[in-house]
Amino acid sequence: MKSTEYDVIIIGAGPNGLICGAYLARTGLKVALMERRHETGGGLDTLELAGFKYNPHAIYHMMGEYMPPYRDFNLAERGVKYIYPDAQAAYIGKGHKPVMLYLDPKKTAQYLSASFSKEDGDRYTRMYSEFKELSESIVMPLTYIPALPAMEQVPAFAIEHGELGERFNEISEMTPLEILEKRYGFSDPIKAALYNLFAMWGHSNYDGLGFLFPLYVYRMLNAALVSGGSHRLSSALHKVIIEAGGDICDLSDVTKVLLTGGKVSGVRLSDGAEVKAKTVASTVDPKQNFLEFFEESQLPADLVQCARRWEWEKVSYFGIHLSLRSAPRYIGTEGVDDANRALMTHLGVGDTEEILSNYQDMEDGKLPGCPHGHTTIASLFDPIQGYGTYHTGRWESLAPFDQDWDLIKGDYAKQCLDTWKQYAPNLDPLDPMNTLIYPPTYIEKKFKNMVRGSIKQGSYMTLQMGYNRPHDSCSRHYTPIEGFYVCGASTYPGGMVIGGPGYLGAKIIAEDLGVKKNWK
Amino acid sequence: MPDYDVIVIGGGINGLCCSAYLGKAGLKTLVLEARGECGAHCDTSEPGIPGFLYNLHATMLATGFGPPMQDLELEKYGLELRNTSYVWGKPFLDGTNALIASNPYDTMENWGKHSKQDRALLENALEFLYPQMLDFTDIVHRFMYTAPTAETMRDFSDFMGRFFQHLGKNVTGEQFMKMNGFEVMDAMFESDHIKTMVQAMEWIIGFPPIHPQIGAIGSLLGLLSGSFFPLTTAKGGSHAVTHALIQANVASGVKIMSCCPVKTIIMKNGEAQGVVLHEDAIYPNQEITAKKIVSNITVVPTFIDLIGEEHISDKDLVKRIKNFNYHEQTIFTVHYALDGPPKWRTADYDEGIMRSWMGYFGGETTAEMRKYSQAIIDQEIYPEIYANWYLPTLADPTQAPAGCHVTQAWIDIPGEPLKWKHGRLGGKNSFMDIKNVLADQITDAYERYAPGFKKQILNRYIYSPLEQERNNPSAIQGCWAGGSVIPEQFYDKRPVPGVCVGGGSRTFLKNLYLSNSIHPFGITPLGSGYIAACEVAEDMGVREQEWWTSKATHWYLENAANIPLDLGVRR
Repeated sequence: MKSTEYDVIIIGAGPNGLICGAYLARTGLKVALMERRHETGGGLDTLELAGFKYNPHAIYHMMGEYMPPYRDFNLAERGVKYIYPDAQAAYIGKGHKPVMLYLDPKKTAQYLSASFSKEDGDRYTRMYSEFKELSESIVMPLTYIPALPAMEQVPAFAIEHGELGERFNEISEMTPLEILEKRYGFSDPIKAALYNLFAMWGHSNYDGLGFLFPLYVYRMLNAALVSGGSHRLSSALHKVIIEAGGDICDLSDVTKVLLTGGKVSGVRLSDGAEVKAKTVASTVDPKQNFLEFFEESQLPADLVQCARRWEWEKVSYFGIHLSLRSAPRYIGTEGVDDANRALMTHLGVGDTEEILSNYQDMEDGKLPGCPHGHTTIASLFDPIQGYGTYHTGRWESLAPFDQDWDLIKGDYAKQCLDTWKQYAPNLDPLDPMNTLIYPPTYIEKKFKNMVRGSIKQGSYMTLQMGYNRPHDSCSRHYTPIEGFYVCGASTYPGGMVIGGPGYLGAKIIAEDLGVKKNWK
Repeated sequence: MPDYDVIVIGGGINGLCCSAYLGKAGLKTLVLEARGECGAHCDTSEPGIPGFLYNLHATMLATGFGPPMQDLELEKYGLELRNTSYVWGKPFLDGTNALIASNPYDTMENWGKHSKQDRALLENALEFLYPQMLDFTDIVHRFMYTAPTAETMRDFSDFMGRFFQHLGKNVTGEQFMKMNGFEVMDAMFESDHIKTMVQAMEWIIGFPPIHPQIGAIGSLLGLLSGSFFPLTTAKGGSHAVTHALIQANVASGVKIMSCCPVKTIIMKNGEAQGVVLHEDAIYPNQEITAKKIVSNITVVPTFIDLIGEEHISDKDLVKRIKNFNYHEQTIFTVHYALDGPPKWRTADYDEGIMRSWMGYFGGETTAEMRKYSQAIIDQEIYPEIYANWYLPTLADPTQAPAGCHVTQAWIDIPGEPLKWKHGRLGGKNSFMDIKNVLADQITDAYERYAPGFKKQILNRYIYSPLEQERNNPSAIQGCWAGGSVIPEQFYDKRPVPGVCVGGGSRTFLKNLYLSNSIHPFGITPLGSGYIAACEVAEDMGVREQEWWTSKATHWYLENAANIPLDLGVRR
């Protein structure tokens, strides 16, 4: 251990821990990050193997340059460069042209008009501009403003945003598919292509997440890769902390938060070492935070109850990472070459019905009838992630957690690759023996806070969202325990490398400690 | 005004060592790394099951040996070395094992079972060395951490003369310096088991026993490694060295830019003046200038690719550089995740083998080890499996989930194999075709020495010289030493005569230094980076620093007792 006493100890050096730590270290506070693993970054993880860079966790960044830390720490100068591929998504089907979704909405509308119908082009234009407005005026700014109780939030919208706020509330009450079908009149395959941008994150149509749908669609059509791999972002934040005099302690597994007179006084690590701090901010999940770090008697009963009942996501992910001799060329893309250069290529599924029924299978713990996934060839846009003329391939599909993955992962990977090959007959792995197969169980093995492969540290459902994330006593980052804060993905506004919890956690902690915030 | 005082090309551990010293000495320093993450050869990754950490390149660390440990405060930046009470174990098929322990008296006990005479000789050798430890340390420091000189070699030779005289052996210092490792072992020991055990050890610390002088020096260092020189793992694996060096750099104000491969070193008026980044870099084609350039990539890419032949007037030198030999110092490794520790067949003979985190199996006799060595030179894959093995989780349980282990076995192999079991091969690309079969044979060999091994395997990951080269393109043919350690490329002749002039790292081109391919070579003691740091700092007039005082083994002699032993062993 580098020191035995700090102003602030942050548990977990994932994106939110690093962001929170960087802001606080810059105020002059003596900060330490305690990371259980040997490497920092959490889901910002890039494996470099034999010249290929694989991102087994986060790869598409939704908020990228919009995140306040990007500007506040001048991450552009620190080598964090976002790449925005022109063709953001391609939905490859059988019996229809690929649905192309471009970064430029005009280009998409033109494509849809020409390849499907003029109406589809117009519908897309209307949807995109509405989603953009709602996201930029409401949802995106809210991501970096402390949570408000729903009862205060809704009227606040209406007053602040007038007619737009009303439209937002209207959309919030619909399911994503209702929004696509009823509000804009889309039908398959465009409906399926747009719905995939949301469903690929493991959300069902019925979780009451209509309010997030415009954000997901708009931001997933402005998604970016970090040049060199996602770990570049964490590495840059890591350096900000070291420069500011903060300590980053790898392999430091916090098992208890220590209290003296009801106030936080430090943490205990798995090796028994104790480190003092009057402030501890945790970025892990509610079960560790409230059922492991403290004794039940130290907490309000309703908070303990909430942690006990905390729900993980219902479905997780199955990934395959491999090197390829050439970039895949998809069937039915003659004359639409962009479809072979899309950031995300969705394939394997017929229509929306099939997406829904696959999802239902997975919720029931079954493997979907046909593997339905999306692929990314990062080296097409960022040659540094591949080797020479060889490419880096990534397959990802939703998958149920409850399977004997150790036993079936090889066979299932073969099924997925066979599916991929049906759509891209030239698929040719360079080194099949060293293909990385990444079943849902590996997510949990790697990250203790992603139980059941839950990449957002807990399901996105009404009771676990907004002011309720993780509980109404701590969604504003302070908790009922003096000196203990929460600012991970299980806290408002949530996960997916949006940086909100870490940013807001730092703001609240700085205010409580009375240190001057040297950022906006 | 140039943008920087110093640019270091390549954030491997020697580059980072060099830049950290220079940054700490107050120079404005930039490190440019082609990969995403620095420390290509100290790389700990999870390509198998999460939680099982594979050290894909260096596993054994000699970092505790060098001055940077103290000067750069690597402990403060998170580097915690770990070891076991037995450092090196060689099981034999006859049921015996030969061991080196951290405590030399334990070593003697094991050796006594093989040969009373060899045990007595080791005791005698230690009696000679202990009182002269500081003198010896000084010679070793000069050998590893200063530019090669005839004087250092003479002092080394004199010391060895006195050593053999004390042992009552009829070997002069000059004779010693011309012997190979096999000859030195024959001159010293009776037991063939002890001889092969030391020969294997010297090979894995980078000194192939077959070569004259290299083999002799290597056999002495091999004999003393473990008890006098630290060979450890680190908490969290080898990448912890990289992490500590990165933190030391950043804290000293050094700027590290990754994903920035360099395309060209800018030469003007015969001087290195800066670099141009590659078009794939994060800042494509950007030009950055500096007063001094340190290349931490190997000699061929430095001069042929980044400088270009047109800037080298001596065409004979160009030819010598192009002929630089990389292919004799490469390895083929199989990494395994295990559900428990391997159970060595020879544990009954001396249970110390169960507490040893590194060792060697195969190569039962000196004669076999000689044939194996010759096969590498002949660019032939040896038909038998003689493998170096590591079990870092015995020393550092954090490298696998509780109760589980990671191990690896590597064989020495030519980087451009031409022959294997009477069949012809086509060089390095053959690894793609043969690697699975070769890995199966390594697994079978491991099973012969540790029965039940195969059933313990949860995951296997194969790493051939080809993967190694792709991972780090400057490690041509997967060479981990910055170039083969052979007589033509050893000590003052390294990398090739005419490249380094006026020191150990200063090259024939003004303002260009090397911290790779120069003396000494890989295995993580950070010698090359340290020598480059000394010479750049001298030339920039910042060498005198209050904190820059440590010498080889200083830190280790003071701290050896604090390095935890046997953390992973259930007693």
